Amino acid sequence: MGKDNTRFLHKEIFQRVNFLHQAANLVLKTDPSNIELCQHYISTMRLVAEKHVIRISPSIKRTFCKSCNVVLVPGQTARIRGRSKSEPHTVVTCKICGAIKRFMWRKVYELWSEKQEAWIDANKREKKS
Amino acid sequence: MTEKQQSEPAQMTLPTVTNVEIYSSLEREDLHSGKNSMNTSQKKSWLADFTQEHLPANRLRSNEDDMSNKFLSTSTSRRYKKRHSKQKIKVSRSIHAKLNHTQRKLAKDLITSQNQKYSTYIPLRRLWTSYIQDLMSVDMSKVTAPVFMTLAQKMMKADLHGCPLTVRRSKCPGYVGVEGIVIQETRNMFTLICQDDKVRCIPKANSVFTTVLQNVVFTIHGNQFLVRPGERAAKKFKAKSTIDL
Repeated sequence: MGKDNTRFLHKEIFQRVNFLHQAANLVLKTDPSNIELCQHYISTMRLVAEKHVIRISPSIKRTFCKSCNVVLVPGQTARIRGRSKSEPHTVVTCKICGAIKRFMWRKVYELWSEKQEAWIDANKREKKS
Repeated sequence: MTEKQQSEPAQMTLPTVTNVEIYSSLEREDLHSGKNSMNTSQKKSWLADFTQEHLPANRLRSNEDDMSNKFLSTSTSRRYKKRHSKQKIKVSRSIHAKLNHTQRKLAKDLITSQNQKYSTYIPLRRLWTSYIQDLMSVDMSKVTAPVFMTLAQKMMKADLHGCPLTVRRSKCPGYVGVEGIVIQETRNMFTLICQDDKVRCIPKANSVFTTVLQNVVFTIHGNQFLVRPGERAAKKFKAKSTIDL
């Protein structure tokens, strides 16, 4: 168990973030009118991550609205459109509060977690232990 | 301004015939003697005299010297009034500004207004049990005392949304024995949904809750749990020898 802790810091917190994200999705799926509860779960999820200085993975972070904390489900709480003006991109609009997310269609764009630099740190830690 | 001063003592009396008498007995010079130019202390003493003179006898107690509680305020300057009214507005605005958009939305009562059903939250409970088993990562059937300590530590940091809770003890006897799934946890409240499809809000303070995981019983002392669920994970709990309630 000690070795696990050195390799995987804050494991409980990641589990909790994961659970809260799933719960928010589940609540919205079972009862689509219950938006407030979904918002509550996402806001606590963000608070937990903020308190422990943990980065929420982009795959999770892109599925909720930044300003009203609702899970963005296409067709239900979000509208997704492609636009080609100036630079081709996707626009995700929150239907609850009207906030906008834009994702560019850049071929060279790479997420931080997918870059080589992000992996070096973990390898070093493994070697030390 | 003078008019205002004189009408104040009249307001204090009951609206009966005496009111009319007071107005009729007002002397002309009282109205037009330039009371505006007096300073505050002069105004006060003048008002005291005036009230003593014109109030009906049943309103005056014997040997009462201080008349200042019989009339409202002596300062009638516009600037003073303006300042005071502005301060009030400032306070209310600052409270409103502290809440951002989402918090204001959350401040509304969340779930109690809608018709909720117990059956819709059964999947949530199932999700929670799988989460908590994953978190504990120990076989529950054979738990020894030292292992239980670490389990309790983990339970403190765990999330309670979807957890089946029972109120064991409470200062309010109406809450005792309530059983349900936690659908929302706030700083001071657990919101439970019970099997009779009712949403019950139970304050954490002054009550004791229990959860059962297979054959291990966890007891949650509500008084020690008065933290927001997100902040609880970062909080350090201190071991206490004695616990109230």
